Amino acid sequence: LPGIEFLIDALTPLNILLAIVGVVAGTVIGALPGLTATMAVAVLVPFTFGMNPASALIMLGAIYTGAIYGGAYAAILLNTPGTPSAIATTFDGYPMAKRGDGDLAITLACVASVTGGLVGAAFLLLLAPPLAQFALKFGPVEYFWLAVFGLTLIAALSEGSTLRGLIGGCVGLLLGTVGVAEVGGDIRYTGDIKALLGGIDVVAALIGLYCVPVLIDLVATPDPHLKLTHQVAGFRLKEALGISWKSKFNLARSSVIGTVVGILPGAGGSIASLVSYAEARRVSRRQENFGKGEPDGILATESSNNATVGGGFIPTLVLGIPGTPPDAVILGALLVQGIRTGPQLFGEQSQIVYTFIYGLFLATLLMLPIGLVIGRYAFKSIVAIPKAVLVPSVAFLTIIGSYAIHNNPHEVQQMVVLGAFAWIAGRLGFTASPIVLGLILGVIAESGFVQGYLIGNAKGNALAEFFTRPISMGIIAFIVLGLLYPLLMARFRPPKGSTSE
Amino acid sequence: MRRDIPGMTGAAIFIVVGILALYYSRDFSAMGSVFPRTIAMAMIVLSGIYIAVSLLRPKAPAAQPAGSNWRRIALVAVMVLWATYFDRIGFLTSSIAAFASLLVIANYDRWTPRMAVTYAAVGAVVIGGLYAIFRFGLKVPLPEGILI
Repeated sequence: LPGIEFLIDALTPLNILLAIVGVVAGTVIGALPGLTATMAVAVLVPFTFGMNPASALIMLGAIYTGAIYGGAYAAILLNTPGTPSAIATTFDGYPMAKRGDGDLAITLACVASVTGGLVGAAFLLLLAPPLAQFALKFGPVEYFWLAVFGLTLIAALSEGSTLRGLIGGCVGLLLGTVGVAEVGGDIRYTGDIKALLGGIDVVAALIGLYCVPVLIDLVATPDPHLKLTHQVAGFRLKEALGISWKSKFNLARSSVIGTVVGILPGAGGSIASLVSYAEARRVSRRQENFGKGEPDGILATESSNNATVGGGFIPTLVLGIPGTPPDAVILGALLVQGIRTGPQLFGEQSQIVYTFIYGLFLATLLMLPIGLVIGRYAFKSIVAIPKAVLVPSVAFLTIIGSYAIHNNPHEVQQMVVLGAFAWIAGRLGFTASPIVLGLILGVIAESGFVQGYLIGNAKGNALAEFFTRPISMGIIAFIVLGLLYPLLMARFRPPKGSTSE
Repeated sequence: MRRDIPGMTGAAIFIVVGILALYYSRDFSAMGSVFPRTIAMAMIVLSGIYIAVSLLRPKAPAAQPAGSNWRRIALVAVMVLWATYFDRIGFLTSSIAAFASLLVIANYDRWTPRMAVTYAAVGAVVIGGLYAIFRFGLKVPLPEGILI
């Protein structure tokens, strides 16, 4: 196995403790309806700034994977997804709880999440090193096209229209140009505000873009005072393992779908779980049971959304392009630590990468006992936390967290302003993810573009530099495919009414 | 079907932003201006196409979340004031004031003495605990300002 010599580094008492703390914290936040996995990572990321990079990554990976799983509790027991990635879990989870099988559904979700998480982590371990080897061939032009590819993909996959996604991406790219330019040294769009000379800090921006809109909407409606009507009486682990074993192909297929969706920039657990659910129902011999408490539905959604964790880390670590929104936050956290992700990471700093990957396996395995215990004993208390306490507590974390990045009050102000902007943009139909991706990819795109332009000019033909290199041509082909994808889907989608719902 | 007025409004705003970005890029060097100018132009064109498509093919606008707007505005106002003045007032004092304000804004239930005491205790634990972790554990120099 690649990097097996670093397994022991992942198993230090500190890393095990961080994995446990991360899984617990992530699971608790994920279990709270309204709080997302991205938000869980964003509000907890400042706690990792003082750690060594591998330990920080292990804790962030544990938070992420725990939060994705935590969303299943509320989906099953309250018919309210704890996180967006658990939306499809409500379809069969809640009917199971209603008929008295809530405990079995929770255990099935846990087993599926662990399986999906392990498959995603295995793909990360086996695919990332050869991809990193290949990515070493990339020059500035290839990175420019990759950034464009990431933007077109998120535009195609984002909720709503492709056009809105592309416009959001442009907004993010423009935000990324604020401050002193990396190439040329121009001072751009600072409005003579000294605080903006250093540009917009990515982590502060992400905390604002992902957390503040959630707070704004949380405060707008009364506490639903969710009450558990279906108790979790036991674990029923043996029964759940038996059902899971019978559905091993469903688990494997859904985990692979989750991994692939995770690899695509910008697409995360919510898309993966819906695609896997649809696929599981399509091939099932018990199609009519789906939506009425079919265990295969839970196995499909929960394995795929947790598989996006490992899948999403592949482009994040290999190319520096976040696979899923929480990866964007983790990428920003690594930048704060002075770690620039990319193919070199697998050579020069392979200790960090492999320690983290084995740590992710560890965190995923820990999710089984932790997840079962929280579901059995703590979920009732978690869901009873009133909004009146939750809102100021999360707000406090966003303020102290964005200050802790560089001890800079201006970054706290950026966080709040961008958060309010994201909420307004959301109301106008422009979601945060394309803006975030634009902000992150802006630096990669601009430096790739300018360097490619200079190299091309030196060779006497800038255009050829961008359009004739074989790898670039391959990426351009994917860009065209990404842009045409929504049109093709619309063209080949069966007309409404031709399929039974 | 109704037109996507919020989406078209957003696109119109982004056209204005794009024009401003082009205008303010006139003093940049050639190397520093090529990227933001390209992006600004792309944003203007895409936003224009979005408005045109929305006019020609109306479709349902994005769902608007319901709820209390004054509470939303109050939350943003508290966070803006908090973010602006915490370094001058002091992190701990400003956080206690902001936490209490947000408790009031986020609470829809009738206040009872028991609730007030419980929430105050939770606030003390959250602020005190996290302050201690960041200040003493993570060695973040949280500003003391004029009050602490």
